Amino acid sequence: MFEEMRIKRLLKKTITKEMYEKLPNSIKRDARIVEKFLSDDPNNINHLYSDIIAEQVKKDYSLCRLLNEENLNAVFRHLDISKMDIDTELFSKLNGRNSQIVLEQDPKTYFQLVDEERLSADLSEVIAHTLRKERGVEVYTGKAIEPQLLREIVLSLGPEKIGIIANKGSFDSKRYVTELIRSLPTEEQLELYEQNNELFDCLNVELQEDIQIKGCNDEIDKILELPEALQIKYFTSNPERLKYAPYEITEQILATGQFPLTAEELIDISYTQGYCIWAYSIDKTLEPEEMLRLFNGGGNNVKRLLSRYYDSRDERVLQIRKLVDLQLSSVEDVEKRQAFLDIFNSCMKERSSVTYYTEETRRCCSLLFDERVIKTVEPELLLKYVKTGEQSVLIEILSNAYGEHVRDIFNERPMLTLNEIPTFRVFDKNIIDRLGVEFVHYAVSYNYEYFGYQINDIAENVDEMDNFKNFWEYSMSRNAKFDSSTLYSIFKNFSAHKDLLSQLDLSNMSEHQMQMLDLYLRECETVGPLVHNIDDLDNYLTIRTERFTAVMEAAEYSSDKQNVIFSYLTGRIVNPGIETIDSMGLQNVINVFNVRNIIKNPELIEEMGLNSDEVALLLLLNQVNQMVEKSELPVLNDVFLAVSNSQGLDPTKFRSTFDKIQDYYTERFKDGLTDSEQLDQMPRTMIDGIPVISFEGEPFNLLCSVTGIGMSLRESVGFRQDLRYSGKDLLNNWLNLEDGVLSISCALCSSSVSVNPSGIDEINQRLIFVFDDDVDIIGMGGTDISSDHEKRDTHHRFQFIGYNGMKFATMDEIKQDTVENIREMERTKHDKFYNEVSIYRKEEDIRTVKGSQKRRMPIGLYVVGEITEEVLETARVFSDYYRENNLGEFRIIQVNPEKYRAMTTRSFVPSQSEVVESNVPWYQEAQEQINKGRK
Amino acid sequence: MSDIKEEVLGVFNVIEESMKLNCPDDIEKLNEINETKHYIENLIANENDKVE
Repeated sequence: MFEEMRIKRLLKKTITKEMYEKLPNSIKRDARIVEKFLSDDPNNINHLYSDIIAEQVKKDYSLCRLLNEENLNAVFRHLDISKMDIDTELFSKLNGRNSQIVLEQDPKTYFQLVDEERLSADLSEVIAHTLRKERGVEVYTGKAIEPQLLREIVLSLGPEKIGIIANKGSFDSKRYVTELIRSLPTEEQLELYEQNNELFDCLNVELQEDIQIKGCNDEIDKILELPEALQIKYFTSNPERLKYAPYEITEQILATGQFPLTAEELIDISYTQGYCIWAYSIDKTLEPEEMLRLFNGGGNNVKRLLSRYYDSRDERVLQIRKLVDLQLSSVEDVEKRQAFLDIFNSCMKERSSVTYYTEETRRCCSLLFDERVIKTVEPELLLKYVKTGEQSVLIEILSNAYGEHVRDIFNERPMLTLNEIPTFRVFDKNIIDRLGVEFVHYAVSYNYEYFGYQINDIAENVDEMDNFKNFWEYSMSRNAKFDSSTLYSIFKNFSAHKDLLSQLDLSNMSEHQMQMLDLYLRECETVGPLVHNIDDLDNYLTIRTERFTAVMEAAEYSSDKQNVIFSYLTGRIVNPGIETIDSMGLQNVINVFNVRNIIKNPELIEEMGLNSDEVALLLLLNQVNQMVEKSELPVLNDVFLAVSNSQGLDPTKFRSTFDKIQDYYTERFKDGLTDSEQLDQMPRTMIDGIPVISFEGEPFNLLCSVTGIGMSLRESVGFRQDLRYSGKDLLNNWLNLEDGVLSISCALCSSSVSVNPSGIDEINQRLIFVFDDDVDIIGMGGTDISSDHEKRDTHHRFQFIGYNGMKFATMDEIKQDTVENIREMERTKHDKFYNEVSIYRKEEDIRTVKGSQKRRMPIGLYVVGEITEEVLETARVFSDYYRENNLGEFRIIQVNPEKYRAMTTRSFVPSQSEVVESNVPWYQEAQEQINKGRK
Repeated sequence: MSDIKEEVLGVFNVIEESMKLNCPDDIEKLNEINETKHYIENLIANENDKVE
């Protein structure tokens, strides 16, 4: 009773915490008191007994938010958590046991609220268990969740938390998240990635690649830094940019054969990528019709087609038959067509032991692939040329097809052979009327692989012809010195920049614009497509500085940074993939041109004709070249900043610097060669009417072709020692420019330290050269300079691995290198120890060459030891030919090996121990001569 | 007076300062840079003499 009275009194008052605390338990538990206590202040709930708290919360779940941590955790397990609307604040009060209850009963909420550390650990566990359960593995710990729920949980977490699991979770969870994301539509994957870039690795691989490629913004230098597979993907989907791809990438793409190109695209790529792309991609990338377009004018280019197709070992031989059928389908006269086919078939019966095709096949196809020829030639005349190869018959056929002016051209070039005519279309009257006969002479003198197609192209298209004419005239006016690479550059640039060149008024540009165009065309391979119109040309120095700045910032290694500075200052391209004399990086330029030696030697500077500005440039380049330490990377950055901010340092100022150096080395080398006058002063005897000049200990320096009796050069097969050309065969091979190659590989044979030019003991008869005129020397070194003797090569590639590499050295340096090299090779038994000097086969500038020869001919045969009957017969054949063609005297230069013990064979070369002991008199003598020469 | 040689000399000044900052212990290279600077100064002076 008293208790009831007390309750009624209390219900009329405000029940404070203190009052409630003092109440007996029975009153505390009274429902009315509890209700009043809470209505006075809801926060009083924390002063109730746990079971009462649970009861109250179950009546009104919003009360759980008022509970303190202790009470919440005490009652939590009695509550229905689905009604609690658990948020971060509430969740943060839960202890481990109760948060596990949330995990079990409402995992989605749990993973939304749990902190990063727990999220990664718990979800990893859940994922692992779920995966195990799915795969029938018994679960001992943790909680497995239905896969669909798990998927929902993970996706509901959002990009940031998914990223945490992907990056910090277990192996299983990473894999699960990756699989999950990759199963999403591309747009959703992208959305996740855009919100959290850390999810990159979880994206579909293809999407990853697309993102990486897209991130490059089509900037070539960034594309070239991508992994190889991505570069392949990029260039495959952007074929118009394939010419910027590294050679290896292009090769791989084209090798698939699933990348059809037009003839024009293949040409364009080949100019940048080189001979191999051209040679090996024709049959893989071109449809038959495109192929016919490419070889439309017949001529020597057809040889390339033959070497790819005419291989009787496989079915490719059938392909050339198909092409011939296709080509002859335009001949309406059935009998004539059949007659052509019969001639073709008769040629295909045999296969040459030297090349994949016979000379007859080559002559036949060269003519059959020319549309004009097959319309005008009678089968009998074709057969006559195919069988005999007589130049007069060829002239008749071509005169019928192209006009009588062909005879005039052949009259001017009596030594002209099929090998030198890239396409018969060069005789097109349109070409001669617009570009002049001079153009024909250039084209047949520098018969690069790709000219044929381009000549066909401009001959057929008047607009194209006009554009080419403008560029041709522009280029000729800009090149004071025409060298072997000029024509190549003209065709290459015309091919690569047709759009730009067609919109420029080339005959009306300012000197600055022309300088900028020259510079851009020269360095386009390095800077990429930067110029699109005349305004770009006006601002080119600014545009290129921006470009180089971006490349400099991206460069990581000192060699890359050095090359950026080097290219920026000189306008030279740097192509580490295909290093030629014109595309070496700074380090090789310093070595090959002996720059360190030049800058220390004022006399040399004067002799080279370098001005003090150029010396300052070389000093700077030499200094930059020495910055190779990691700690010097910031210095290189500072150098570039200073250089790019300077007003006077632009590449137009240094255009001829390296030409001067190259010319100087060439001149000095030539000065040391034995000339005709010296030879004429030597005693001579006559054998069978052939002058024989004998060297019996006298000093001499002769340049000998590596080709000679017993070893010859054939295109596609390289040097063949087994051919043993001699006599008429050797003459014919030589007159055909050894299948049209542009350069001659020579060795310096010297009385002091000479070795046999081929390095092979048994072979010692070589064609020799004595030069009284200008000789364009490509490179010279104490060892093989790794020259490629191809038709298209204007600049020789070189390598440093294992050899001294290409080097512009003095004659004495070459001798010294040779001696050292022989000593080295004596130990290693390497057979490539001859020194090498590469020269061009034709005189350089047709504008200044008088007469009809326009090609270098040997002055005689260099013979070490006895004059055999084979030597004599060969000399006779050459001598007769020289007499008939007014080419002067053909001599035999005989060297007595006993008087020059060092020069004949390897066995005469002292061993290392002999050299160390210095007991080889002739060797000491040779060394003294070298040292004397050096002084 | 040649702008180009002056410009190159300016670049060498930058190189010297940057080397002092980034590679202060490379005395040999710093000496060499200094020598090269003198060499270029001589080139400039010689040219000026010729002009005068």
